Amino acid sequence: MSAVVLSLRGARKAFGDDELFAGLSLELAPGEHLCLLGPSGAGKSSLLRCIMGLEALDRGMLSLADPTAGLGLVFQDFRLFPHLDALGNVTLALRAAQGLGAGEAEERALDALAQVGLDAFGGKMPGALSGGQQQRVAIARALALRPAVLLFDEPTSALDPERTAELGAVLRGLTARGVALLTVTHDLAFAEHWADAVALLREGQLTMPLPAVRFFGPEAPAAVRAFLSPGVAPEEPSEP
Amino acid sequence: MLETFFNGEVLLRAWPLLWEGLLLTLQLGALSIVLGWLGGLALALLGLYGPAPLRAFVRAYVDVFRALPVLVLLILVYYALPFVGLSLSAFASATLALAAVSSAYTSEIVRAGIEAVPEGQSEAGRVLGLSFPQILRLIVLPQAFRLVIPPLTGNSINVLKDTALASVVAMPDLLKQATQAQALEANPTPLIAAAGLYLLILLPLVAMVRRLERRLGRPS
Repeated sequence: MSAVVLSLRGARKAFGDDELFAGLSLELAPGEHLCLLGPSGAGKSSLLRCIMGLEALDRGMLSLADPTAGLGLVFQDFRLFPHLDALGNVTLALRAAQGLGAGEAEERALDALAQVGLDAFGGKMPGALSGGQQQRVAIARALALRPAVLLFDEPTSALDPERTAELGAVLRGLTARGVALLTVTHDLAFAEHWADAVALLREGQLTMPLPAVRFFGPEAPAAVRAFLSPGVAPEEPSEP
Repeated sequence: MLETFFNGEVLLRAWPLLWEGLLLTLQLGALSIVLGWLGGLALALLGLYGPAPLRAFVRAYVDVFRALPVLVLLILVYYALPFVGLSLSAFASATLALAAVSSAYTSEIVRAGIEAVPEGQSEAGRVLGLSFPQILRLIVLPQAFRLVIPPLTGNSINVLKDTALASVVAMPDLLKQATQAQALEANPTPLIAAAGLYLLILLPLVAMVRRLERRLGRPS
């Protein structure tokens, strides 16, 4: 596995005097699902926002193997456009940002909706969809732009176990097609079950990504075991 | 009593005048409302996203034109501007004064509407690769407009009502025609008819605002 779709080198981000992380590096291979765990306020979401370009890194370099196949981000609260139906949500950027015609945009949007099992829901307004369905429309919206890497911020925070399993299956379908996933989560079970590799962001440092079995196993580094140590309940998601 | 206030013959004779006045009132109202919308939208966008000096100008403009009585502005435009070489017709003066004031109110309404759209919506647009103008046009403004339809309609009603002020600068609008017919006939029936016509136009609009506000207040 020498192919790398995304690499981040020496990243630093601080808000004022509060340094979130420094000297942080990570790499993603095509079709790899990397999960980042860490305590609340460790800067996991900020890291995603920096990679996405919503916030500027103070230092560091982000490079993509193929700059034309970009990044996508699925927000924790989905952020569908409430004035557009599901299909309109997915076609908007295809038409406006990528300049596709109406027919081609709709074809690609329906294809993306089909990948998340919602091709029959294109005419539904976001308010008429369940939380899990809204999330999958948000995934389709990002997917339609054919990104090489999809970023997920707390994807399971609004999902019950059954919906979480559905999401896991959708994500597995994406990685099978070569899309790399970087997920930030508090959900240890989700990470253990669905990620290829897991890393811990803590006190501004990222541990070396490990396969889930090793990360959650007895031979994990001390910092990881301290984080996962029994008696410490998993943290509450920061938002309901 | 009926003879005095609801005299059919007088009404029949006065009707052509009233009709002309009504048409002019509607033209003045419609033109001022549309110009007020356009001006208000431009002011709101400049006030939110323009460079600092323009933002300061918009703040000053909005404050001044919300404080100035429309009638005072209208008389200034009609009677004072000619001294600096700018003579406008009664219709143009009234349009300018009404649109200038309406722009100030509309600008505040639109600004509040834009600010009510969550910041996360713009971020979602950025993440999808949309440019700032595209985010504004395709994501923010459509959501803002939905919120501002009731207050915007309310403001438009005020503009339509304020068109009656144009009679002061001798514009033959509905009110002016009615007062002239009243003087001619020495009978108040045309004034009653004019009041009735104002209500006929404005009451449905007021009812519409009430309905829109109720619908918007209900969780969707």
